[in-house]
Amino acid sequence: MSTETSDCQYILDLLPAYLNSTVEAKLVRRVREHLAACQNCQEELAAWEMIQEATRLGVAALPGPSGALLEGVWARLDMPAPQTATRRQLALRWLLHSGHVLRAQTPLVRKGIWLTSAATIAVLLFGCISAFLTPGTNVAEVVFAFFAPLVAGNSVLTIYQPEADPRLELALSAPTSSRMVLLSRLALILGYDLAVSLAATALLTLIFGGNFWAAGALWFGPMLLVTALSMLLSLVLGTLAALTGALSLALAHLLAQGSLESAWRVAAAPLNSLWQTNPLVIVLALALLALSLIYAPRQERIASD
Amino acid sequence: MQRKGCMRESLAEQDQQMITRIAAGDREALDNLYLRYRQPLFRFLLHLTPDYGLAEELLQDTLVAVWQSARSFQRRSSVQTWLLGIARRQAHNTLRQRGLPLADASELQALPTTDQEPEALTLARASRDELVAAINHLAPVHREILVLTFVHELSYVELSQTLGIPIGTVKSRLSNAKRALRLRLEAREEVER
Repeated sequence: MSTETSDCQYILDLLPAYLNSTVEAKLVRRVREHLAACQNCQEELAAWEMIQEATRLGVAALPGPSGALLEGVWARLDMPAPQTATRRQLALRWLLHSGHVLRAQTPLVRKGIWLTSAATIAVLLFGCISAFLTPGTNVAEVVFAFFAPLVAGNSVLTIYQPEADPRLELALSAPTSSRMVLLSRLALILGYDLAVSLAATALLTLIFGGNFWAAGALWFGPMLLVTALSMLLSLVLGTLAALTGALSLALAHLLAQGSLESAWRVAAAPLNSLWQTNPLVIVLALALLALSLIYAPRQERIASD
Repeated sequence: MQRKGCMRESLAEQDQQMITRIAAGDREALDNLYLRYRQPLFRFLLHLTPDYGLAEELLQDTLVAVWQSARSFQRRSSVQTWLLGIARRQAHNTLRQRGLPLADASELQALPTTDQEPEALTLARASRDELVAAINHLAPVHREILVLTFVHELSYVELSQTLGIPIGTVKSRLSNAKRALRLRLEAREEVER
C-alpha cells in the first residue's frame, strides 16, 4: 500500500510534463502503466487536462503587441550612447549607492562592537593619563600607540562571520555584493576607531604636550596594518587565529623594543619598521585589505556549504 | 508524437541560427525572431503586469537586451527558454525599480491543507469559463508557472532554469497552483450557495 502511495505521488508530480510530452521517454511507459491501473491518478490527469485547456484559452484571449513595437526597438538601438556623460553619471550613481549601503549597514553591525571599541579606548586613555601624569613625557602616547591598533584590530574580528551573525546573513541575501558589504562595514568600523583614536590623541597631546601629528603617526600605520591582518585572518582562518595573529605582531614589536636577550631583539628587529606609519606599512595594509575583499565571496560560499 | 519531436528539433535549429545571425549584427534575423515570438513573449509579460503599455515597454527592453547579448547565448537552453528568462528578468528589474508588485514567491501565502476532496472533483464540476476566470485571478506566481508549462510547454528542467528554482520546487509550485485553483473554485461555490 505504501509503495503504491509513494508511486502515486511520483506519477502525480510528472502529470503536467506528461501532458506536454516533455517527460523523459523512459518514464512515459511507467506513467502510462500506472495510469491504466490507478483511478485516482486518471482523475488527476483529467484535472490537469482541464487546467491545460483553460490556461491556453485564457492566454489566447489576450491581445498582442502593437504593430510599431519593433520600430521603437531599432530607434532605441540606433540612438548614440552619450559616453562621457554616462561615465560621470555612473560614478555619481556609484557614490550615491555606496552612501546608501553605508547608511543601511550602520544599524546592522553588532551594537557591541561600537561600545567595546569606545570603552576600551577610553579605559586606555584614562590609564595613560593616570599612570603617566608627569608633564613633558610622551610615554602615554607611546603606550597608547601600542594598544590602540590592537583595539582596532580586535573590533573587525567579527564584522564578517556569516555563521555567527544572522544580520550579516540577511545583508548577504540582498542583491548588494558581499564585497560591498564587507567594504562598507570595514569603512564604518575603521573610520569609527580612527575618529575615537584621533580624539584620544588630541586629548593626550593637550595634557602631556607633544606634536599631535607625531603622536598620531605612532599608532596610525600599525592600526591600519593590524586591522587589515585581523580582517584577513578572521576571514580565512577564523576569529581565534586572527586574534593570535594581531597579538603576535604586537608582541614581536614589544620584543624588538624591549630589554630582552639581544638575539630576540635582532630577530624581531625588521618588525620595528612595520610598527610605524610609513609608505611600506600603508601599502602592505592596503594589500591585505584587497586580499580580504577578494576572499570575501569565497568565505561566504564556504559558510553556506 | 515523434513527428512533433522532429518538428520541435528543426524549429530549435532555426532559432539557434537566428541568434547566431543576430549576434553577427543581422537586423533581419531580429525581425524574424520577433515575428516568431512576439505573441508568446507579450502574453507572458501580460501575466507579470496587467498594464498593456508597460508590457509593450518590457517587450522592447527584452528585444534590446537580446540584440545586445546574443553573443553570450551559450546554447545551454532552448532559445525560447533564454528569451523567456530575459523577458522575466527585464520585467522584475523594471517592476522593482518602479515599486510595482512582483510575481514573487514571497507573495505565496501558505495554502491551507484541507484535503476534504481531491482537486480533480472540484475542477471537474467547474465550467470552462469558470476555470479560465479562476486561473486569471490566481497569484501571479501560480499563473506564471501554469502559463510557462502549458502555453510555452517548457520541461521541468527549462522551468527550473527560467524561474531560477530547483526542480523539486517546480513540482511543488505546480501542485500548489492546482490547489490554489481548487480553493478559488470552492470559494466561488460557497458564494453561489
